[in-house]
Amino acid sequence: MKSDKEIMLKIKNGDLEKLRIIYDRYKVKLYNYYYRMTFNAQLSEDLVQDLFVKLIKYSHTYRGEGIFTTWMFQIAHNIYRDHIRKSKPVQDVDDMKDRLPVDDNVEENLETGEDIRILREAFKRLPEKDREILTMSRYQNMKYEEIADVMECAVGTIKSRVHYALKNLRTEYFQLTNEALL
Amino acid sequence: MKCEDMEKLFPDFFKGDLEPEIKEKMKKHLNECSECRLEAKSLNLLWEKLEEMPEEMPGVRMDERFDMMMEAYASGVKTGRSQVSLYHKFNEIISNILPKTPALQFALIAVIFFSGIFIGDRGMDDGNTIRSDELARMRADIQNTNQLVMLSLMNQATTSERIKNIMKFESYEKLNEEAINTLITVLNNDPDTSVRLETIEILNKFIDNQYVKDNLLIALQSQENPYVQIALIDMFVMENEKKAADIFKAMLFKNNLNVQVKQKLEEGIANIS
Repeated sequence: MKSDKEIMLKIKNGDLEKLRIIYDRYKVKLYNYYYRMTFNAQLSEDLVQDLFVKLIKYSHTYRGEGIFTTWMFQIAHNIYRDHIRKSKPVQDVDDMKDRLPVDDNVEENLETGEDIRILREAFKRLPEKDREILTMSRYQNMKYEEIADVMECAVGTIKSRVHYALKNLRTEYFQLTNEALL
Repeated sequence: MKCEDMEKLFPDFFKGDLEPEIKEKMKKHLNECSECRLEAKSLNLLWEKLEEMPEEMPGVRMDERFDMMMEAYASGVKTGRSQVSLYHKFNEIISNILPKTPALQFALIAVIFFSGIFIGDRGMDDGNTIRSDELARMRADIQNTNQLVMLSLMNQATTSERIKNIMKFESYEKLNEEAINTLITVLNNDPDTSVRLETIEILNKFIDNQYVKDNLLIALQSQENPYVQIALIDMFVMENEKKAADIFKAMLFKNNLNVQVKQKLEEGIANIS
């Protein structure tokens, strides 16, 4: 099986059909990255589509250095930032939880356990940066160095942020659990 | 290490990413510090629980849209040669004017640049000062010259070179008419869809210019590539351009209209107020 790097270099050299391999490998991961940021299925699909257009558009900038997924997630992260900028010009992080779109996955709530439903709700209540950093660290299995490259900040900052994001999640989770028990 | 330093390493510890030496220190610290032990246990429970949050699966529609995009790119490459007569004609003229080697191309650019300075020197008045209106005119001249040189370089062979040249227009505050006409020609005729999409992004920046807007409205009516059509529809919806709504309605009667484009047009008509 060819590596992501080899495939991307072929795409760069004009073999666009190879993009299907990258799509098949990463469509679920990318969709979940956006879904955990937006909790909106339609929007997540749109953003994944945007990403693949940008992969073609910026293929000429790919040099085959570093980890392919870091490069891809840099683009994915920028697309999300652009989306936020266009749709919400003034964004107050503390205000985020009130502005999240309505969860469109009703079936899931019925099928999964109560504690997972609460965890999901707690995750939604986190500030955007916390959600993004936990998504990359926990679900995309990215190393701190990779996340630091994507988010353009120091590795030490990322380490602290993951820890604080986890603590914030715990606070929200306990609060929601207590509310459910009352 | 202090408790605070240890805490920051908890996620690494949960993932098993700590260096063996630090891992041992962590274990030792957790054995000795009951507060950190409790904290680590609590956060680890949550870390593990996150794994149970189910992965979402995208709908079939996402695959269909991806296939559509790939087809659009493929058809762009296939049909490109027959569609580019105007564009190639432009390139042919420029090729005949421009020297063939990059060194000579740069030399020509240098000549244009220094000619600008020479002309600028002559523009100074007797007191060796430049009036602000003259300065503004000179700046405009230089921008026009730069745009002309960039347009000349649009005949570069590869897609990435053409995209790079188009992206340079992003830094301009204004486009001259010649630049707009050429970008519209690229939008209508370039064989590569990504070049055409990039051109739309650049022209979108100048959408307040009525000449740009009118030309884009005309261009929308002649597009056959679904991806280009969707990018233009999105742009006009974002601009809430009322004239576009009539064009959207007319486009709905086109034969062989792509399903996604049809959906976008219908949404666009509903959204433009």
